Amino acid sequence: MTAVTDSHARRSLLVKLVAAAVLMFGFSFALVPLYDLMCDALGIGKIRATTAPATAVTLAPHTLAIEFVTTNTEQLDWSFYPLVKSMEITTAETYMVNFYAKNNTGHTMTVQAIPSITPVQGTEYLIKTQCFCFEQQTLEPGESIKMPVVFMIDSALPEKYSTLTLSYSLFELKQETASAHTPGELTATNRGGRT
Amino acid sequence: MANGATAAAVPQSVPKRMIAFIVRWTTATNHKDIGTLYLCTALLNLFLGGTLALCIRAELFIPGLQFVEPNFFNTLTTMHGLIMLFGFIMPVAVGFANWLIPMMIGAPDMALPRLNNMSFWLLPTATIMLVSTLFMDGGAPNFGWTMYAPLSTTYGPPSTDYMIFAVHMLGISSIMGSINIITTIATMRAPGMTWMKLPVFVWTWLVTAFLLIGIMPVLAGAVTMMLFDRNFGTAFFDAAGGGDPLLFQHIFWFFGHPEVYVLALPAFGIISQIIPTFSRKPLFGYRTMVMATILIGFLSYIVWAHHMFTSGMPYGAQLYFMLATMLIAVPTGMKVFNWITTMFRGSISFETPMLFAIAFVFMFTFAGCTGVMLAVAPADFQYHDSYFVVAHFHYVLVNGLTFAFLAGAYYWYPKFWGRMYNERLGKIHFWLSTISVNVLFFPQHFLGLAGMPRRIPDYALQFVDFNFISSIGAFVFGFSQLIFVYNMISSRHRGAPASDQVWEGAEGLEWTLSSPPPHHSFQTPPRVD
Repeated sequence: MTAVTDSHARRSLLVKLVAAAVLMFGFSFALVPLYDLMCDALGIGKIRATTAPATAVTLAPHTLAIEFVTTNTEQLDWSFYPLVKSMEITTAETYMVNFYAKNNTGHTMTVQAIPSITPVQGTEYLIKTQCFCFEQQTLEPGESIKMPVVFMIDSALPEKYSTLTLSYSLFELKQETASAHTPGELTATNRGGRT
Repeated sequence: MANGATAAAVPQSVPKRMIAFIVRWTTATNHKDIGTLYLCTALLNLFLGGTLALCIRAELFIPGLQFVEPNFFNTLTTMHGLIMLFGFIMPVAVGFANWLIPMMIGAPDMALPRLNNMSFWLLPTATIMLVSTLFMDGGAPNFGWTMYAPLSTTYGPPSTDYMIFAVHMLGISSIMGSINIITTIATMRAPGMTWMKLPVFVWTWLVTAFLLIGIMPVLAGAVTMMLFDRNFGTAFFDAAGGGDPLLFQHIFWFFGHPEVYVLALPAFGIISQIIPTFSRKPLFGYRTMVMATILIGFLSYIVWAHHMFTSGMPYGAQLYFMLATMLIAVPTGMKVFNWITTMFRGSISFETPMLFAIAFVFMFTFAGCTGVMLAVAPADFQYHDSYFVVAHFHYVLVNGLTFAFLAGAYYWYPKFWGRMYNERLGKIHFWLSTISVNVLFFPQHFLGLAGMPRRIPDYALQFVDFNFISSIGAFVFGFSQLIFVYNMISSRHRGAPASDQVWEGAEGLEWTLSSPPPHHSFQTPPRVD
C-alpha cells in the first residue's frame, strides 16, 4: 500500500470517527431503555416480576389454636398474666388480646416484655400491628394496667403447626439500662422476622 | 528540543526567554513535543497520585485513626484512583504513542497536529480542576473512582460537579487523541508499510484508539446522567423516580472494563517491542499477536458485569459473564506464550528495559491468574470489595503496566534524547522497585482473603502485620522512583552519546533515524520492503 496523503480521505475518516464518538454518546443514553427492554425480553433481573405473584396468591385461611404464656423473671414482684389463656383463631384475621400487669412493689418501676413464639418456625407468620412489647412500661407502686396485643397469623403458615404459643417474659429495666436503651432500639433488636 | 523554531532564538533577558518558553510549549504541534508534554505530565501525576497513595498507606500503617478523618480517607482513595487512571496511565500511553507512531510507520508527524495540541492541553486543565476539589468546602469526591450512584448523586459533595466537568474534558481529550492516532495510522504509513508489517505497538494502539472512541462517550453519558440527577431533577439512577441505581453500574462498567484494556494494550505493545530486541530474535507469532490484540479488544466489550456479580444478577447472566471473562484469558495467554517463546533460545542480555519487561511478564501473568480467580462468580462473592481485589488490580496496573511503561522509558530514552541513561542506576531502580512493589502488594492478597474490606481507614487487629509490611513496601517503592527521575534528568546532558540503532538487536523504522531524531521524523517517506 502506498502512502495516502490525500486530504479528502483523511477528512472522510475524521468525519466517520467523530460520528462514531457521537453515536456512542447517544448509545449510552439508549442503554437506559435498552436495559429495561433486555430484562423484560429475557425475563431476568426484575425483582417485582418475581415477587409479585407471591403476594398476589391468595392462600385459603385455616384455623389454629393460639396460647398465651407469661413469665416473671428475677423475682420480679409483679402480677403479669394474659386475660385470655388460649383461643381458636382463623388466619388472615386480626385479633386483639389483653394482658394484665400490676406493680406490687413499693416503688416506681420500668419493665420491658420480651416475646417469643413456639414453635419457632411460626415466628415469621405472626404479624403484630400493636404490642406492649414494642415499648417499656413504667408503673407507680400498686398501679395496674391492661396492655393490648393486636395480631394476625399469615395464611402461609403451614397447617402442621396447629398450635402456636406466644410467650412473654417480663424484665425489670434498671435505672441506667432504662436510659441507655430507647424503646425503639429494644424493639428493633427483639423483633425477629415480621413480628 | 533544540530544534524548535523559537528555542533557537538568541538568549535574551530572563522574562523574554520565559515567555518564549511558554509560547513554545503551549503552541507546540510537533508530535515529539506533544509526546514529551504528555510524558512529563504523566510523571508529575504519578508522583501526585503516589503521594495520595502514601497518605493512604501511612494511615493504614497501624490500626486506628492516625492522620486523616475517615471522610478524607475516602477522598484520598477516590482522587488516587482518578489521578492514576486518567492523569498517569492513560497520558503516559498517549505520550509514547505520539513519540513513536509517526517514527514507526515512517511519517513526518501526526495527521492532525493542531488537534493534538488541544487534546494535550485539555489534560492538565482537567487535572487541575480535579485536584482543586481537594481544597473545596465539603471536600473532594469521596465515593471511589467508580462514582457509584447514589453515593455520587444523592450523597455526593458539591465538588462532584467539578469532577464531572473534569471527566468530560478528559474524555474529549482522549477521543481527540484517538481520532488523531487512527487517522495517522490509516493515512500516513510509508510506502510498503502494509497493515501486517506494522510494529505490534502500533497495532495495540490502533485497537486501543478504537476502544477509546467506543467507551469514552459512554462514560461521558454516565456522568452526564449523574449531572442531570444532581442538578436538574431527573431520576436516571433514583429508584424513587422510576430510575435504577444498578443502571449506573451497568453503564459505568460498560466503559470501565474496556478501559482496563485501553490501559493494558499499549503496555503489551511496548513489551512486544522490547523482548525481541534483547532476545535478538524476531517476535514469535506476530500474526497471533495481532489477532489476540483485536480479540481482546472485542471481548473487553462483552464482559463488563463481572464487576457486579454481587448486585443480585440472575444465575444465567452470572454464568455468561463468568465464562466470557475467562475467555479473555485465552488471547492474553497467547500473548504471554509468544513473549516467552520469543525469549526461548534467544541470546538474551539483561539491560534495564529487558529486566523491567521480564518482570512485567512474570507479575502481569500472576495478576491475570488472580483475575481468573475473581472471574469465578461463586468465589467472587468472597473476594468482592476486599483487599484481594485491590491486590489484583494493583498487580495489573503497577507491577504490570507501570513496569511496562518504565521499561519503555528506559528503552527509548536514548533514541528520544541521544544520550544513554545510567545503566547502574537503572538496575538499582529496577531491583529496589521489583522487591518493594511485591512487599507492597503481595500481602494484600492475604488481607483480602482474611476479610479486610477495601476503602477503609481502620481495621481489625488480625490485619496488623500484613498492613505493616505492605506500608513499608509502599514507602520504599514510592521513594525508589526518585532514582528514576534523577536518572532521566541527569543523563539528559551527562549520559554517553547514543548511536542511531542504540540497541544491538533493535529493529524497526525508529532506529534508522538519528538519536535524537530530527524534528520532522521522516521528511521523505522511507521505503519498506
